[in-house]
Amino acid sequence: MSTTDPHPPGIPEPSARGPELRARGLHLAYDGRPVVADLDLTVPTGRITAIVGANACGKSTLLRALARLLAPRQGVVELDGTTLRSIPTRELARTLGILPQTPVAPEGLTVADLVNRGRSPHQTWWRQWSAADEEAVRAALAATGLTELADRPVDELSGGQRQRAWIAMAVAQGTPVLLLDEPTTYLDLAHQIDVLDLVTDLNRREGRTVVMVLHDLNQACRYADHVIAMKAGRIVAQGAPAEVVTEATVEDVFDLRCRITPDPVSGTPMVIPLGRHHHDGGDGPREAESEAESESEDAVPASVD
Amino acid sequence: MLVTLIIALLVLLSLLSVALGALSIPLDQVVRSVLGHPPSRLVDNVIWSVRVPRTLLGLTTGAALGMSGALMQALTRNPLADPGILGVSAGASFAIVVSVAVFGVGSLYGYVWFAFAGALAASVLVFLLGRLGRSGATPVKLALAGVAVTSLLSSLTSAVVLTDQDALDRYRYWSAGTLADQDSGDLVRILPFLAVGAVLALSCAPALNSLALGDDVAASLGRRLGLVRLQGVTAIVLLTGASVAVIGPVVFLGLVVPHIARLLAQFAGIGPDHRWLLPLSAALAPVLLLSADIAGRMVARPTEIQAGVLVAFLGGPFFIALVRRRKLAEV
Amino acid sequence: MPAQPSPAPSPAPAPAPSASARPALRDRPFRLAVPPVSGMLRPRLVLTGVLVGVGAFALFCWGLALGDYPVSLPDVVKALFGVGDPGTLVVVRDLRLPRALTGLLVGLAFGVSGAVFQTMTRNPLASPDMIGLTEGAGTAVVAAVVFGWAGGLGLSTVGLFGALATALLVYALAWKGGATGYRVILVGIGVSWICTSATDFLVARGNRFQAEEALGWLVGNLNGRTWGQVDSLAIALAVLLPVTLGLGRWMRTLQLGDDVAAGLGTPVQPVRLALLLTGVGLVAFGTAAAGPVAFVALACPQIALRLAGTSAPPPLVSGLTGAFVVLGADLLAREAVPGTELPVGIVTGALGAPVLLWLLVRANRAGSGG
Repeated sequence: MSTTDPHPPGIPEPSARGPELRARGLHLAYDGRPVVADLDLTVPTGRITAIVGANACGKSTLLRALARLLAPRQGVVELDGTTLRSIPTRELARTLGILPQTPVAPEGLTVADLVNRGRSPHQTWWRQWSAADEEAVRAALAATGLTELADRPVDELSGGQRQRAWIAMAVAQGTPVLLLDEPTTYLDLAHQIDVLDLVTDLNRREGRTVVMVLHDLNQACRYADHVIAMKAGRIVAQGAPAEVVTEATVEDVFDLRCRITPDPVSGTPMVIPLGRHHHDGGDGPREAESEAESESEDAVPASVD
Repeated sequence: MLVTLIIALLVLLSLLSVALGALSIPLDQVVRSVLGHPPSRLVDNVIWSVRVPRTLLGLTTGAALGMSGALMQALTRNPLADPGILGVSAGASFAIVVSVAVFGVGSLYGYVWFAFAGALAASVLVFLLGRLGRSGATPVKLALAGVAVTSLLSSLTSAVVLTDQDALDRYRYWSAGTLADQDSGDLVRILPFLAVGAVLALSCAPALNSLALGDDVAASLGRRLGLVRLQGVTAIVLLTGASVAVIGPVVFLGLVVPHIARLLAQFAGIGPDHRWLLPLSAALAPVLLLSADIAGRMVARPTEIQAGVLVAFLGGPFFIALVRRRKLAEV
Repeated sequence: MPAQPSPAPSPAPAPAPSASARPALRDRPFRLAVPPVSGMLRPRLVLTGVLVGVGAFALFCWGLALGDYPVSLPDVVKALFGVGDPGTLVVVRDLRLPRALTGLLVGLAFGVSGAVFQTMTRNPLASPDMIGLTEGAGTAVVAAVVFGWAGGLGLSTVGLFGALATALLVYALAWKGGATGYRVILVGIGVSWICTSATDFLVARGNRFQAEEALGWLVGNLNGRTWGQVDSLAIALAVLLPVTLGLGRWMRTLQLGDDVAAGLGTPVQPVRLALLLTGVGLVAFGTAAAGPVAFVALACPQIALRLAGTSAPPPLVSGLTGAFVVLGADLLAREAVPGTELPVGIVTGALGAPVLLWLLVRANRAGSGG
C-alpha cells in the first residue's frame, strides 16, 4: 500500500499508488455558524500538503471534515471515489489517520502504551498484539526517536517529546493518509523542525500522503509540496509553494504586507513581514537587526539578498 | 429602572407574605395594621408575632444566601459552585443531630447556636484541608475537600439519626428548609453575623472583578489572592452558616440566583461587574425565597410545603434550561 | 534539551524506570499461533486482580462465618458446596448467603460502573451518583414508603424503576442534537437537586417510622437481604458485565479524547451510549438491591487504578475492589458497635472521605492538583 521510492522534493507529480482524498462542494458549519462554503479540493496523493491561513479561516474545520470528525452540511468528502460517510469506521481508520490539535494523554499512560493504541484499528478483541502490531510500534518508536523513552509516562515528557509520542501513535496506525492539525504548536523552534523533518521522512520513505495545518508560512513553503491558502472559508490559492506564497497572496490572506525572498537553504519562498515600523530600505540598521533577532534562527536578515 | 422594579417586587411580596396563609388577611387590613391602626387584636397578633418575623427572616436569609452564592461562584470561577460546597450544610446538620442526641437539647429553638457552630467548624476544616499542598486553597482543592468533609459528616449524621428518634425528627424537619415556625429571636441573634458577612462580601467586589480574569492576572493587578480568598470564604461562612442554621439548607438558592442576576445585569447593560452582581443577587434571592414560601403556604392548605423544597422545584427546571441553553465552559 | 530525531543513542541520562515498569512486573506480550490469540500480559494488573479477588472471597467467607451462630471457616466453605449438618447449611446458605452475595455483587456492580463513568468522562471525580440516579431511586423509594405503595412490588423494584426513570429523564433533557458527557452530568446535577428536595419533603411529611425506614434505605443497607434481590442483581450482572468488558477495547481509545478515538476507528457516539447504558444499568440494579452505598463507585476505581498501576481504572479489578470494600465495610458495620447493625453505607461513607482526601493530598504532591 505504501511506496518506497523517494520523490524529489518540489516537483508535484500526483502518484496513483495511494488513495486519493478529495472534497466536492463542501459546506461546513460549526455550532450552526457557517465556516466553509462551497469548497472543492483534491489532496495530491503521496505528497505533503500544507493548509495555511489566518486564525479562524476554517483550516482546522476543513481538516476535521476531511477526517470525518465533522459531518458536512452539504457536499462530500471522497476517498478513492467513495463517500467518506459510507466507509466502515474501522476501514477508514486503517486508511486515514488524524492527529487533532494538542491532544491530552491520560495521566500515567506510557509512551509504548499510547503508541500501541494507535494499532487499535488493526486489532480485534482476541488479537491485541500481533507480530505486525509489534513491528509497527517498534518502527514508530524508532522513527520518532522514542525507543529509549518507551516506558516513561507521557505526561512526564517535555513538550517536544510528548508531541513526538502522539505522532508516533499516528505513525503506528500505519495509514497511507495522515492528517495533522498544527503539529508544531507549543514547540520551540528546534522541536518544530524536528517534527517537520519527521513528517518529511514519513512522506519520502513510506510515500504517505500528509495534510497538515501550519501557522508558519516559511515552514509550510519549505516542507510542503503543495500549499493551500485559505481565507474566510474559501481557498484563495493552491499549488506549489513558489506559486502560492507571493506578496499579493500574503497581503490578501493575512492582510499583511511583506517581501518574499528565496530561502537561502532550500530555495523555497521566504516571507519577510513588514509591519508598520519597518519598510524596505527605509529604516536604520538598528531596526533591521532587531527584526532579524525577533525572527529567530530560521529567518535571515533582509540584507542577505 | 431595574432597581425600582426589584424593590417594588420585594415590597409586593412582603405584603403578600404578611397577608396570605392559613388565616388570609385582606391587603388593606395589612396596610392599616402596619401603619398602627389594626382592625382587630387577632389580626394584629398574627401579623406582628408570626407573619412579619417570618417575612423579615425570608428577606434577610434570602439576601444572605443569594449574596454568598454569587461570592462563591466568583471565588471559584465555577458557575456550578454553591455555598454548600464548603461543607456548611453538612456541618450544621451534624451539629443539630449531635445537639439533640448527645446534649439532649430539647427546646425547639436551642439548636441554632449548635447549627451555626457546626457550620463554622466544618467550613474551617474544609478550608484548612483545601490549603494542603503547595499552591494554597485553589478552587478545585476546596471543592474536593468540601466533598470529602460533607461525605464524612453525612455518614456520621446518618449514623446518629438512625439510632436516635428525636434527632431524626429534628433533623428531617430542619433538612427540608423552611421559614415557618421559627423563633423570632433567632433573626436578632444571627443579624450581626449577617451584617459582618455582607460588609466583607461587598468589600471583596472590586477584587472579584480582577479575579475573574484568572489568578495570574489578578496577582499582576496587585490583588493578594490568599487574602481575597480568606475574606471571601469568611463572608460566605458567616452568611451561609447563620442562614442555614435557622432556615435549613436552602443552598440551591445560592446556585440559581447568581445566574439570574448575571442575566439581568446583561440586559441592563451592566455586564459582569461584581459591585452590581452581589447586591443584585442579594435582592433577587429573597424574591425567589418569599415566592416559594408563599406558594408553599397556598398550595397545600391547611398544611404547608417547605420553602426549601419549592425553591428546588422552581430553581431546578430553571437550572436545566440554563444548561441546555448556554454553552458552559468545561470545568 | 536538544532534539533527538534519529534513533541514535541519546546522550540524555537513562530514563528512570517508572513504578509500573519494575522488571519482575513488566508487561510482556504473548502470542499464540493457533488459535490466533495475542495480547499484552500485564502481570501487575493480573496479580492485583487475583489478590483483591482472593481478599474479597476471604471477606465473603468470613462474613458467612460470623453471627449469633458462629460457624468455622472450613465449615463455611464446605457448606457452600452443600456439605455439612442441616443446621449449618440453613444458617449459611439460607440466612447469611443472600446478604453476603448481595454485598459481593453490589460492590462489583458499583466498582465496574464507577470505572466506566470515570473513563468515559476522563474525570476521576465522576461517579454515577452525579447524574442523579441514586437520588431518583431514593425519591421513588421514599415515596413508596410514605404513601405505602411498596406493598406488592418491594422497595428494590421501586428503586430500580426510580433509577432507570431518572436516567431516562436526564438523558432526554440533556439531548440536544446529541448528548455530550458534560451536559449529561450538568443536567443530572439539576435533576438530583430536585429529587433530593422531594425526598427531604417526603421524609419530613411522613411519620417517624416511615422516616426511619426511608433513611435506612437511603443510606445503603445489606440488612435482611433475600434471594429475590440476589437473583435480579445476578442476572443483571451476568448480562451487563460481559458487555462492559467487551467495550473495554473502545474505552482504551476513548480515553485519548473523542477526536483521537474517532480517528482510530472508534464509533464514538454508539460506544458512549452503550457505556452509559451499561454503567446506568449496573448502578440501578446495585442501588435497587442495597440502596445507594456511598463512595464505592467513586473511590474503588481510583484505588484499583493505583494498585494496578494503570492509566485508567481497570473495570474488572475496580469491580473486585468494590466487592472487597463493600464486604469489608459490612463486616465492620456489623461488628464495630456490639448489639447494633449499622447500615453498610455509613461505613463506606466514613471510610471514603479519608480516601478522597488522600487522593487530594497525593495529587498535590505530584503537582497536578490544580
